Amino acid sequence: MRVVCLEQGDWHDPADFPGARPGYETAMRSTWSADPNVRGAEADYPIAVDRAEITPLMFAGVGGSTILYNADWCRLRPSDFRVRTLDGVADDWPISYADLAPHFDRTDVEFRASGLAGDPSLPPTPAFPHPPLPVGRGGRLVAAAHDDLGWHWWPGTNAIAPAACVQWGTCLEGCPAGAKASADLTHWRQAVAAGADLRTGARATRVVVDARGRASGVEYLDREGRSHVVEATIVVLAANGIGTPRLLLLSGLANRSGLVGRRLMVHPFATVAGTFDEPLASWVGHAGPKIVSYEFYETDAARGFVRGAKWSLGGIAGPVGIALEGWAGWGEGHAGRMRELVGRTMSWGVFTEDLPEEDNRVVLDDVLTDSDGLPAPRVQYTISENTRRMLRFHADRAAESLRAAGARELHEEVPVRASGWHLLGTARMGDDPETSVVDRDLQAHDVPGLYVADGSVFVTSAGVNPTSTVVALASRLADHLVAAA
Amino acid sequence: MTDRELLAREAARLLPGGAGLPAASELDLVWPESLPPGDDALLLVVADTYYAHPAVRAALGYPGPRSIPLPPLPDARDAELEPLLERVRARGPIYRGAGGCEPPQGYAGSS
Repeated sequence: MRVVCLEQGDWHDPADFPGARPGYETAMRSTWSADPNVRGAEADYPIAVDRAEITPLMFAGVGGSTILYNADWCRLRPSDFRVRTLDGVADDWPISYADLAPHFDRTDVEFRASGLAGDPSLPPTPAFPHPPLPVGRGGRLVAAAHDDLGWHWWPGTNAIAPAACVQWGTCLEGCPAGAKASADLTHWRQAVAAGADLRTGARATRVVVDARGRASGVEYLDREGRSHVVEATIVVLAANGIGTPRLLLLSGLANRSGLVGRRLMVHPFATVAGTFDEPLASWVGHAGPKIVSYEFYETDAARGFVRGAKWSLGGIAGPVGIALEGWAGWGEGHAGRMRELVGRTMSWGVFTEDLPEEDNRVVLDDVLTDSDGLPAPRVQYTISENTRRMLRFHADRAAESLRAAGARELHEEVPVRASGWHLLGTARMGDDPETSVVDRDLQAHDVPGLYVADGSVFVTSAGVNPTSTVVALASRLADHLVAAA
Repeated sequence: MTDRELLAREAARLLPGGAGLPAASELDLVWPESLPPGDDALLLVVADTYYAHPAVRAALGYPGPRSIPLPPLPDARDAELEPLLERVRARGPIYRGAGGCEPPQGYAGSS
């Protein structure tokens, strides 16, 4: 089997990332921003977002958005695959938790997960490759509060190799130590060594099909604007929940259902931060979860909404983020307030499950183009009433948690606009070609030989960080393709 | 007015010091020639430059990002959490069974 990968970005070395250099807080909000409209790099395409309540985030480069993710590593739960059956909303997945479990087990190892098995919020799992990372003083305070409340908590699972981690705390801006399991480090170097042909600076422009309608290759532009075609018997799109529907729409393929680009889900995100009297050195350690809570993850109809959310507790790191939040004001009094806040503030991040809505979608923009003149995607996204209620409920409970832990001051952001890390659902899987884009093996119903291996195929979003499930699906697809070769 | 002059003026206004922190105007802050892209670029550069200054960090007790090898894992300081974890385990599974993955004691939540 010969594999060619077209990557619009470039390789990045851990030394490229700004976290270990002065001025990193400016870099993470400009040239290393997760928002391609802010970053504006040559490898990026712009996104029209004036009709999007949540700003989509992503990275273009070898390793994709795992370069700028937090490595918050968690599986979907069994109920996430049966939302229609259990709660009467949205749709069931055509596969179950049990179908993915062996792939979760495999990818936990491949992505160097550090965690503690035995979490009662999911079925039993094997031990992780590494023990959990330190919970820290702030994590211990909040864990004790959950113990008093009788609420679930568990040490966070992070896709970080402890032997390499030196606690820069800048995981979200790329790990300067190479400890975070981004796909360039976990897979691509080995794949290239094994013979994979990875072409960087290659912007896919359309999927090519033969006279019988079978996928036969991909057309792409190199950095000089020259057009090329790679012929292939199998084409796999892995361009995230915006890039994949964009490419399908540019190609005019796989859209018998009319669902390409529709049902976009992004996990509207809320933060509730609590400031404590005692110093917590909250800048030390990994940026991902110290502890997590699934106390309110499963549906309880008495809450006034269905489905739920997972919480991740992190420390608020440097003073710049706190200053920009405006919690300390500016001018007189700023310095005293910063003394009270810096190093003493922990924050719950709440990942809510938003359900698929056909009007939440990715389309091709009529005006905006990328640097090659290709139509840019336009994102149209509105937070649903169910999700709004969920956000409010969870933010209130997160505040209760922090107050119980002793926080004397709370700040919430509900929702966080620039939080569209999780781009899901825009080429959903299903058994019926009239109501889904790809089948349970992730092959397009309409185009034999064309597969999708990213978050686009999610039927529902669940309420957890999706990377573990995205790569488990990719692992399952790889097995399928190898078996069929 | 150049961007550097603008940044210096705004820093003096926004960050007058106090509570043991120096005023921005007292420091030899090095400003970039131009502002980066993005919303709130002026505030961002003012804050990042000021809070990166060694005198400010020392006064605030904030060392900035730095390399600190992890302790041996699991972290001995987290050993006090084991009795708490045992109580989480003792409460039993809290996931809702589906698709053949049923918790051994059933799902206790309502729906």
